[in-house]
Amino acid sequence: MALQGSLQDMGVADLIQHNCQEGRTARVDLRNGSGGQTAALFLEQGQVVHAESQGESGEEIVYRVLSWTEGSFSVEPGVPAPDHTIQRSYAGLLLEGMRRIDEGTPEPEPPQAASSPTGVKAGGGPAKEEGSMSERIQNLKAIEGVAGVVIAARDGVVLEHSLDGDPDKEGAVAVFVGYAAAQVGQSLALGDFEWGTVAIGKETMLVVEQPDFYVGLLLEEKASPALVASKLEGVLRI
Amino acid sequence: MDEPFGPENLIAALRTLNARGEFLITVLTDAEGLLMASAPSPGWDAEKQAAVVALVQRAARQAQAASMDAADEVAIRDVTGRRLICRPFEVDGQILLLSVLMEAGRPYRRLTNDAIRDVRRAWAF
Repeated sequence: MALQGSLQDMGVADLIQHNCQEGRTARVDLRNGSGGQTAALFLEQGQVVHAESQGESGEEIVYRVLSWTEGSFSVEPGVPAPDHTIQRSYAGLLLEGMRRIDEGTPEPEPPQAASSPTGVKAGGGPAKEEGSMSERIQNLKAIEGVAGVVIAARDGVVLEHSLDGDPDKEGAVAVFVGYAAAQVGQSLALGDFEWGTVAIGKETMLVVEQPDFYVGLLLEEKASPALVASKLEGVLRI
Repeated sequence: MDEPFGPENLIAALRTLNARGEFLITVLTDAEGLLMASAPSPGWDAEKQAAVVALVQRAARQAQAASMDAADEVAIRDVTGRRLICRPFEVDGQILLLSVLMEAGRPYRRLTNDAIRDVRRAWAF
């Protein structure tokens, strides 16, 4: 039995997050109240694997519907996806979608070429966006004194990393420091969190907060956290 | 809670640390974040001292959840350079947390090493 509702009561991001966290397989139909456009998202075992709208498919559809604030939705459980055009994790999709909304990134023109099976269209955005996250990791790792990088969402999900060790553990450490820093700010009315460090044995991790995620930089043994932090401007939004 | 809290010998160790480092507040808790001793600097209000204790308490629990029991030091710095430093250490098989809040640019490593040594001594008596 389909669950139906209004996007004013439950936004698209909440719909995705709720159903994915529950590990559901489902078809989510969306109707935009202002333009009358429709879209369908397909979830498989807690991940968004396919999206289609007006003959297009892939990640861009997800980013587009995340900006819909009026309209309706229905969720039909157990419907298998007809295709698999999205590979990014649902957390990654939500973060990228929110980033685009925050930055007011205009929606890309509809693609001229057909979608590839991976949802990466000819000259399309997804490959570029994936590249930009990897590029950010590479730029951070190029800073003198940085041995490894982990980028973790606020819920601890590791979005990207360049670590040889256990990225989930390092991601959890980054989120812990970021969360503790937020509490410091609230409790003590200090200024905004600039950065934090965690020293475990000879390893030190520098943690920096970004609007949608935390960045953990594993420092080389002799590196100065303050010096590395001073070089982050230009690579991150500081 | 603007008065010092805890056994006299521990308060004395924390007061010495505050005076030498010109720290705003020094707090000693167990691994669960339960307050064992504290020493505020003059003018440091009780509300903020309570906030530091509550913060360390929550952070200690989260640290255990994030498998960070082995951390030697956690430092958080705001844009003005003010820092909160938490240093776990072991005394008699028990993990304690020494937390200090300080203004920008203050050295703390050697001073907190000394304070940890003083706490260990005080613990023995």
